[in-house]
Amino acid sequence: MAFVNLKNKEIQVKIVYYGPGRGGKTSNLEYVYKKFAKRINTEMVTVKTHGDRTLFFDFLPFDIGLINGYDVKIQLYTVPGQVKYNATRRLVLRGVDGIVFVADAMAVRREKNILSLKNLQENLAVYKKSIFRIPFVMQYNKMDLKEQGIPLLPLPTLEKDLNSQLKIPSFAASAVLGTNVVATLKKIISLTVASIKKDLK
Amino acid sequence: MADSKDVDTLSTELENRLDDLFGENNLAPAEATDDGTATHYPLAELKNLILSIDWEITDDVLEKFLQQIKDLKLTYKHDKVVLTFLQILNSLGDYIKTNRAKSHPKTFKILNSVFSNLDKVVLSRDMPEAAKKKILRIEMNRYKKLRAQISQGKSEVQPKPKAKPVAAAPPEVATVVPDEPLTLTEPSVQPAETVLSEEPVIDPTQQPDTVIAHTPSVETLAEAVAEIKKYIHDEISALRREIEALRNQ
Repeated sequence: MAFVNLKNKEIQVKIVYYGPGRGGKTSNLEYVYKKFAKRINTEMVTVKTHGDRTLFFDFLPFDIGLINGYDVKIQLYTVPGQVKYNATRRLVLRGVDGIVFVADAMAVRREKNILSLKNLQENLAVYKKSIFRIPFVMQYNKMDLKEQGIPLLPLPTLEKDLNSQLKIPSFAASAVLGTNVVATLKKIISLTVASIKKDLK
Repeated sequence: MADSKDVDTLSTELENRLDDLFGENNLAPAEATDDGTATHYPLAELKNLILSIDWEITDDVLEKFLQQIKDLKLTYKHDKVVLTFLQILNSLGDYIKTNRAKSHPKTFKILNSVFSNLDKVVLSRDMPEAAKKKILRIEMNRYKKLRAQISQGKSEVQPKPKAKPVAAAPPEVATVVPDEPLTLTEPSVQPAETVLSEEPVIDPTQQPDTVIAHTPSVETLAEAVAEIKKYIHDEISALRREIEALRNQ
């Protein structure tokens, strides 16, 4: 449940970008931050290892202004994708309102995507949240690699693997080029805010 | 928010606000990611593989890594500095392939560091040759230091190291694995299981004859020769016994 301050008429929405390691979660946030930094007027916090990997999490907060009289603040987080950091992932998921699953479209990452999605379901269950009920958007990232001749999974395969049961909105994207990064973000914010409003009723 | 406002009103208001924030109008030009360098970046795949190794060491990744280096060596066959960088990466790759998770912890740091500087050298076309060599020398020294540390680790683990008949080969190094002592007592018949490099890395910043290989001491050589003699002697004795047994049949 989002943090709602009725007195100050403020809502904090927590959105987590989840997915396998090196899938492009941080790249999504970096794109948003680099491209819209002046408009969203914020700082991105990120902790990386020497190998450019997310060690703990990335954090990008911004204010989207008044919606229905409430000041809506969005907090974007990423989780470390590496298998060994599950405790961190679980911690970041605490109080999550919406999720973007950044799947890696590379053919060699097929199994990692599925394992990561299962891991998400398990970690949400710790907080008694259902993967089927939380606002959720799927992103198939790295579509740009096709031009470099790198084998990618066809979209129907990705949909079958990851979205056949969930049936959530999905986007074919390229986080490094920015393709559908904003569309993904807008969709998850819309779904999450609508869900929070529903819960508040 | 909790009043009876229609969801559609909220959605419209939200959509408009998000369009204002994230619309494409009046945007500053996109930053470095859009400049097209990614498409033509010659080390893209190598970088990807190095990051993959950092994440998980698998046969598949390591084979691709070594193949990628092989391909790049052909591409840069006329650039001695780049070739040497690639040779160091090749050696580290071979070493990781052999030792996997038991590799010296600094190996991965050095792998990243070597790549990072290779990247710098490849991308900075205007960089003077002397500057490139200076960068290479730093990485070469790190690499040498790592080799020395691994060698040292070996000698610490083996209380009485037997001299081995491979003095001219790149140094054999052992990984410290306290829970697997058997691997440390195997004689030299084991293939170079912990060797960093199959071929010596030539540093173009130095004289050709001053490169890496550890020059064995006279005593070590003498011990090695003595050991070879012993092996041969034992083997011949065994053969004689075999022949004797056959004659007696």
